[in-house]
Amino acid sequence: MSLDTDVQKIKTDPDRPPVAVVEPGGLSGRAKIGFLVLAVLAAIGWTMLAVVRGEHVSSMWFVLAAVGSYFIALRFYARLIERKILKPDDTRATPAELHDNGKDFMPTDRRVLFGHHFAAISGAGPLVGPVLASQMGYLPGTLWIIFGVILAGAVQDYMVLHFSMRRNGRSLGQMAREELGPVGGWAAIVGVLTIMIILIAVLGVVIIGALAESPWAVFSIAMTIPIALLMGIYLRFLRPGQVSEVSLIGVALLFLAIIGGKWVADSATLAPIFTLTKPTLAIYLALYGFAASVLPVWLLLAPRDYLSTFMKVGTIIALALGILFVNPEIQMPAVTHFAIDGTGPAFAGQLFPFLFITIACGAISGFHALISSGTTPKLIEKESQARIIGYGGMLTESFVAIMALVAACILDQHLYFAMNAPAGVTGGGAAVPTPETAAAYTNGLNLVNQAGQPLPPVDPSMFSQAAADIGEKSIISRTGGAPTLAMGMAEVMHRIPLLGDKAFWYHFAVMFEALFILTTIDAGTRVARFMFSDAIGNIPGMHRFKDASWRVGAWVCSAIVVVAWGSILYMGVTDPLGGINMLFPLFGIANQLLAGIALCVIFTITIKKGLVKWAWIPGIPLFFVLLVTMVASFQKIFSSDPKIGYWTLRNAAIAAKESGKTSFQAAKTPEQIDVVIRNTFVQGSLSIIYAVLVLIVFAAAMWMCAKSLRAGGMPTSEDEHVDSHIFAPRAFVASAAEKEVLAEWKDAGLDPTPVGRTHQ
Amino acid sequence: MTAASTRAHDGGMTSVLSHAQHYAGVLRWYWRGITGADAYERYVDYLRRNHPDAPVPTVEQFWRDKYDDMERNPKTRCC
Repeated sequence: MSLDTDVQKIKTDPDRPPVAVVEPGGLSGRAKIGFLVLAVLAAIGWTMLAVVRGEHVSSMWFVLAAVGSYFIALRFYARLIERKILKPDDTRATPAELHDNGKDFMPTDRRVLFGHHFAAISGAGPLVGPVLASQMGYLPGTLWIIFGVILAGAVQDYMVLHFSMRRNGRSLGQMAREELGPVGGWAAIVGVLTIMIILIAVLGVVIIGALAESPWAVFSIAMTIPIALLMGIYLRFLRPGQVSEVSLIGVALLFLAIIGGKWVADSATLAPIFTLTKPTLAIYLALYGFAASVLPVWLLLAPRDYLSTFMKVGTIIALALGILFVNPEIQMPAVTHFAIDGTGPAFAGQLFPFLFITIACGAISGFHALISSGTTPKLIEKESQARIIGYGGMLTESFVAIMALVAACILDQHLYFAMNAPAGVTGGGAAVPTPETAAAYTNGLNLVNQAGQPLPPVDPSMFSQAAADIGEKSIISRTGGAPTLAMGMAEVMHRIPLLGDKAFWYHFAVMFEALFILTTIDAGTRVARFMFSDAIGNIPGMHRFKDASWRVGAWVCSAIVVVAWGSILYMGVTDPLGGINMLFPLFGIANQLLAGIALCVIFTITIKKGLVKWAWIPGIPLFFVLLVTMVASFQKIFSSDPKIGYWTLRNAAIAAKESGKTSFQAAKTPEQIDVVIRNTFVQGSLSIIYAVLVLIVFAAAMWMCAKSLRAGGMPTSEDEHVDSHIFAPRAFVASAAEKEVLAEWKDAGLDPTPVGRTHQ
Repeated sequence: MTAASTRAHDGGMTSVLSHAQHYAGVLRWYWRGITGADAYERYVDYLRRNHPDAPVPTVEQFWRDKYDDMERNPKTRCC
């Protein structure tokens, strides 16, 4: 082949085979045809979704549009970032090679690390946001998830991973301090800590929406705790290290717990024990978070994590295959009138900016910056692999978000809106919504079908039938996104022969989401506890808090962290106006602000390295995320529409109280009005705190950039170059030249990389 | 290379069974890698390679130390 002449094989040691292969950027003839086919498939998918929008929209178009776009972005846009900004150098030893200790620093096979990284970044976020955003139709969410990930989310993950890898796997907070200076770094750390608190609280609200008044769901989730304890004891005393074996036992017990849940729900004596209200569940969840934070890791946290990884990867693959196999038809139109008038029930506000904060994970998630820095960079074999792991891993998460969106959009629209509107509106005047009041509500929404004709009115029996199908008493106002996703997943999976009925799959999906969320809650509480004790340990006289093994400090800090998120959670589940639609915007804003902090750091490093010409690559997402979060925060703080502005709503509630009224919107008693006044104060204050913190970080970043521009570039905190002595291919499949190098290593009788037994 | 994969690549021995064994081996290797179930073997490999004279911990001791490490350095999970 003619291209071979330009391939360079570089040695760092003349006596050993090459450690790096540098290949020209061009494509071979076969690859060109491959990418042409992908481009055509993506174009067909997009045309059918965005232009044709026929009366029958197939879920297959989503898969084509997404997967085609992803591969093209990975090959062309990620390569551009690689060549122009990051310039990975495979003759450099990565932290994994340099500090290999066989434990947390260790070169790891790129394919394994991809799976490992994906399991660490994916969670409940990409499953919930797209479900809520479906109220605006399938198209706005799909466009944002796919183009957002390509231009923003994957860029952030990839660049943070690379920069952390060049800094010995340092965390985002440490990089912020080093690159932005003390003020920006300090604001970033406080921002990260407070943002974690709100993230945990909102995830709690999401899962309580699925657990409340459902003995089946509560029983199966409650059983995950004794199952985890059993696994922990088994691993500690009976069969140490048999992780796969114990995970299989755990998953089998989990299935029994789901099946047993039906029996509990049907039992007259057991059902009342497991029928819990939202406030009770909130208290239990907080107690659980505290226990998980102070109990030994081996007893609860580690076994839960094995269970969660198993279920996460397994269920996501099952859902993707299910959608491909069943190919369900989309019910939601491309764009609903809620996208234009901003009066949707799941969350209030116009498409811009609120769609972009509702779908946070899946398009861009600031939380990933915490994983991409710290854990993964210490395991990567070769610098050039960061593209497939960082950028590619995020594309995979985006695909999960697309699957969640499809699962929500295949539901009957009446069902979707009845599930996602707060009880205050589906109930009409009644205290508890009934199928009749819900039908009256959805029939009044002016829903239209794909062709734009009005949907026929729904009969109330549809809602009672839908609830009976899944073994629940009611499905009305099961807000939070998790029940809707479970419903969509049940809709897909029950159509596959021999795979269980709707009720089983609904509860399976609820359990799987709860497992995710509980894993995030317990790991998050623990991390927040450490960050908090580390921060207050800097205060004179409180040094002892820095000692992580000091039990009193651990208990005190855990309690403070749990009370912080627990009180927001309690506030959310008792909110008379519906907690999720009040709090989810804060979750999205917080996550996007975290992304803003990460993007400030990578933008500044790009400028400091003198790459002003290419600064638009991190600049686009930085600008967009700041614009979205600042507009959203501004509206949440200053909007005169009480549906959007926290303070306007608060003033209206105060006015109602002072004029002696006993009800205000969905708040039906004077006490509930007081709750609204208090909650809106907390929500409004948090909005202000987050916005101010991020503006401080942004100002620090811009000041540093200006300084660097004047100086014509500045040194960054990058580590020294140390020669690498190992070799591994850059992508999943080795190129022809890489295969030749691997053969050279084999001929020399050497292992190219110490990753252990691989299946090469 | 594991025994299963070697068998699968032996000329003439490409029966359905050995193919299935080969893929089951790959799947097992991959799954254990993602979940971290292979941590002990990899650590022992590491010791043999770099510190052949260092004492090799028992499985029990290795996992106890590993969980103690996790106790001190918590890792976050994403939302």
